[in-house]
Amino acid sequence: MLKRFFTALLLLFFISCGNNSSDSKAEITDNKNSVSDSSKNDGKSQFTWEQISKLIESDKANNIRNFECTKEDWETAIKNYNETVITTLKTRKYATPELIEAMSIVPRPFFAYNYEKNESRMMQTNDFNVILDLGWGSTMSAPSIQGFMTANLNPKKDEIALEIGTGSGIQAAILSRLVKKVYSIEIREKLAERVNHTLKAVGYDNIETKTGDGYYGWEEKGPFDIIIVTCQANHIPPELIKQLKPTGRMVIPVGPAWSRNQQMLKVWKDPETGKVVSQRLLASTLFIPMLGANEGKKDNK
Amino acid sequence: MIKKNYFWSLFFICASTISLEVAMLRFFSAASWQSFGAMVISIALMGFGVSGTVLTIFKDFFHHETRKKISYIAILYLISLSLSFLAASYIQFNPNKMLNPSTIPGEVVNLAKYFAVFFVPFFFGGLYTGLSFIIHHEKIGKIYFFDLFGAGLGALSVIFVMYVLNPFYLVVYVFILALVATFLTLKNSEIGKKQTAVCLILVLCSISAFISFDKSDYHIYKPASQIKLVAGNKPLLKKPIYSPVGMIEVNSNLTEKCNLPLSQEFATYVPDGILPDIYPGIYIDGNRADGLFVKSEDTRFAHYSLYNAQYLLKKNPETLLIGCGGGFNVFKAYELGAKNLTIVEPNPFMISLLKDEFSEMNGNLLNRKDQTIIVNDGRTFALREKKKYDLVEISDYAVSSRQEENYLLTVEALKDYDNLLKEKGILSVGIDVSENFFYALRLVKTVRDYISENGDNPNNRIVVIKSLFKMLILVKKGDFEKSEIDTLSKFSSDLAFDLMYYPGITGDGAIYNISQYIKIKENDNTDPMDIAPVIKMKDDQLYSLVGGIINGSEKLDNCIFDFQPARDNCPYFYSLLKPSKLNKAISTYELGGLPQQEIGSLILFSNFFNVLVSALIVILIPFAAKFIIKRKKHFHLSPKFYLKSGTYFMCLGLGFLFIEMILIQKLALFLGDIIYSFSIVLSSILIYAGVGSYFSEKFVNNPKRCVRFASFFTVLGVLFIIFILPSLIHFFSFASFPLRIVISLIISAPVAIFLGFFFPLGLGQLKGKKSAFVPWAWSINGAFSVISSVSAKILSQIAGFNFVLIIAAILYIVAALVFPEHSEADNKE
Repeated sequence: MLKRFFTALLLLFFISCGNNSSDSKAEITDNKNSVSDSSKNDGKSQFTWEQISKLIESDKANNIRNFECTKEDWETAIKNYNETVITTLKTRKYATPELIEAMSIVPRPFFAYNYEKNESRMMQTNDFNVILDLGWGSTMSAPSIQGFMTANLNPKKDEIALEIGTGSGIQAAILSRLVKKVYSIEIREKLAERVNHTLKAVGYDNIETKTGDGYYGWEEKGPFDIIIVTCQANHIPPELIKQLKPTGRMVIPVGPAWSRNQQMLKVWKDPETGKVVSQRLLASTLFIPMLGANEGKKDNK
Repeated sequence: MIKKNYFWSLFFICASTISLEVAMLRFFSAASWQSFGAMVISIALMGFGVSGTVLTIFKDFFHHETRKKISYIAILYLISLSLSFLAASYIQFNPNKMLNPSTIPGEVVNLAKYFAVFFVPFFFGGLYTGLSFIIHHEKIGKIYFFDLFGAGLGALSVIFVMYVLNPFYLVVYVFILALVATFLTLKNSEIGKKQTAVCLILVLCSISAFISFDKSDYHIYKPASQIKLVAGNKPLLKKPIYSPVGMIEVNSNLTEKCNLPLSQEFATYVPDGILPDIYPGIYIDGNRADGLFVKSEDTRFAHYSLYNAQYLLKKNPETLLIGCGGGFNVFKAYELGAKNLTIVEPNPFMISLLKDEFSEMNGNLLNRKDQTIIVNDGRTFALREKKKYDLVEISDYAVSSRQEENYLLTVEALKDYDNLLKEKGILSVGIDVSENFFYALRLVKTVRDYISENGDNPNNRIVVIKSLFKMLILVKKGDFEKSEIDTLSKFSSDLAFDLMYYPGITGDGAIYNISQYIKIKENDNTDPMDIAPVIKMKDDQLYSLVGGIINGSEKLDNCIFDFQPARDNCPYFYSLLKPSKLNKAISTYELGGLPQQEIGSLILFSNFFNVLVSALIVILIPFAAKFIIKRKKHFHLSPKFYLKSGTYFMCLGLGFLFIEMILIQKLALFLGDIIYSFSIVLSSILIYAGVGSYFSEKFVNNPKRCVRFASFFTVLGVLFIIFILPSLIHFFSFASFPLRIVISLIISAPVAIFLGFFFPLGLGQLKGKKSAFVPWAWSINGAFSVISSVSAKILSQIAGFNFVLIIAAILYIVAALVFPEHSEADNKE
């Protein structure tokens, strides 16, 4: 009796270990099953179901994500996204044709994924103002905010952009359709690894990402025409000002952490004096805090 | 012969119930918010009131086998202590939801749950006390002695325990006191061994449940809860520091960045400048109080802060800094040339953190020879300081103290600071405007009104500068000179700060008609959306508004919010709500208009609703009992008698707490903190009232005259508090803290002694057929006591402390006039 009891206990133990979906158990395999070139999107048009399904399979094989998605699910998600988000975006005065096109072709439902819980947020992307969780305290900003921030940066085709807070990668992806090159930094290592993989897989080759502390910018790649900060800071990081070109523009949410009274600022430099000028774009916004350097380390210097 | 155990068991029960009140206060302050003082008192009084009523209604039941029953009640009190705190830890009250009109009802219900949960131990504690009087009625004086001294010492002793125990577990001390009481009770108990064993098992079960399932902690919304979710968060103290004024923790994590009001031009002027990596956060009761200064090799950033402006006007100033906080203001003062710095900080643990624990981290900032460190409240220090300074700096850390009663920023306080300045000295006050600028407007109005009431021209004595999230107000003792204005103008321009107001400012900045923004006329059905502009006001409009306040063209009279200055009679700086405009104010939530600091007022108003319901329950108990209990005798009492007697006990219920609440508020200035004042005033009033009750027995032959005598002296006592107490506070402000405690204990005597006469003398008149009124006397007195603590707070916020005291005096005069004197003719049927 006792023997059977303990055997059952051991079995239960091993089963629960096997079912443990902790990412510490699931190692990311590196490009073993990458998407074949013929299935890649050209970066100028919307993704087809075939391309998406290949991406999903590739991610599954590389332990990036693990979810089932049917063609019907995908088409419903995209249809809802277009009918709500894109339609609403078109009503906004700040939305240029280039911005609308960029946000249309970037497959937002595909980027909407909680990596920590291994759950797709695909069906929740049909809201212009919804913020989605990505795991490990990170969030995907609402399309309204992303569109607004991107528009205020006035991106041009020959420009270089820096993004602080890669998150899901969606903002970098949108920007990449509008500028020459995007550099993006994410401090959450687990998130950064997975999203880097995703961005490579979708084929947006003009994005370069890394894991690091965005507070210090990316000096080696600077200076930048555009800097977009997608997390709250309690002041404008001096390093980012230094890495902004004289004609550059920065958009950054600044204010108290965890408060809806953060302000969205646009920052640039006065062409005559070189002094910093800031303008309040939004008086009330809420972003997750910018995470700074680990104590004593400046890991990207 | 009565065994001594009985008296000592009562002593410990009373000590336990009073320290329970204080423990609850600290529990709420740490877990969620700090505006629960009035609610705690209401709950306690509800418990005591209902117990008194129940005792009188079921008198026959309790007179039978009393010693047995008292033992069971001691056990029930013990069990209810642990279970009530356990239950309270599961109540998901979220103060932030008080700001949202759609979620307020849910939170009012949560507040009502606190009433229900904590009512129980106070009920059993009150029942125990009442039964003690029944058992030992022949030794009333001695019973009173142990009752009131137990309560008094309980209130005082818990202060010391707060230095040792986590605020979430102060209930352990309360429980120990109750355990001793129960042990002494059971020693002389008449209950059998089997029953005793069952009782003790139940007690053990309740303790186990508390230990196993208690979820007491900071609420999830509190900053300290949220930073614990940040990966790599590291507490820098081996264990938190416990004190009556807050539990202190220091955390280092990735979100703790340098959070100074730096100019955005720092990078322009100092391209190779480096900011400190990490600025650990100091948390008090879960709220982030300040960043802990960390000395770095590159100190140039200190020259690019908004709070440097005043140092440009004074070379090597003799400086007084009120509120050292985490140390940056101290460092900055030295960096900018301050001489012989005097630092005043009310929290001794902040000082010890900087001086000892983190001295190496901050470069021995508080271990310099050229400084004086004073542990005292800034205002209390200002009352007594004789030295004069070139510069008095009130840090935004001191200004942002969340205490409701904030004597630091009243009109009278400005007078005290002005007295500290040398001729042409400067007072600087920093205030955070990241959430909104409402309190900054009030501060500007306070400064303006002080100068104007002093006979000077505010236009020439004030400068206001703003960064993105901070505002700095400079007040000069004398007119600002042109050279000084030019210096500040260049400072602002160079560092991209906004010079909002200066003497001589012209154009739109000088006069501005804001009628279309925040003026709402009476009977105006203006849609709340119309006030959107004031909340999202563009900066130039804000600057014009500040100018209008200073030059007097804008009085901010008829607004949704109350922007009038705080005064010592009504020191509620962080309370802007007007009861008449409450609905409109709450409806600004969607616009981000209601500041978080207003949560305290919203809790107070919500609790008023709960206390009304509680009072109604208390008052209806005798009424309900009438239908349940079949009385052998039923006496008919005239409506006139009910009215007269009801009025008498109603006046006592209201008046006593009005005086007690206001005395607590007034002595908070003298003692430096509301928690100390709460404990000391509570204990002293109980002791003195007990003495008064004891002596009232000597006047049973002429009670009416005695009550009139007591009423006269109560009114005198009230006048003493209104007119003489402020001067006494000034006079004794030099005293050390222990001496101030003694003085506070003495000051409470004149009025408190006479307060103790009324209730026993009134109750003593309810003899013969009038005894049918006794349950009503208890319930009316209890019900109005429950209402009075919250009402006192609300009335004082609207009309000031003295108004409430005058109402109390009137109530005692009315009580004397309607005293229900007994005569033998009344016994004839």
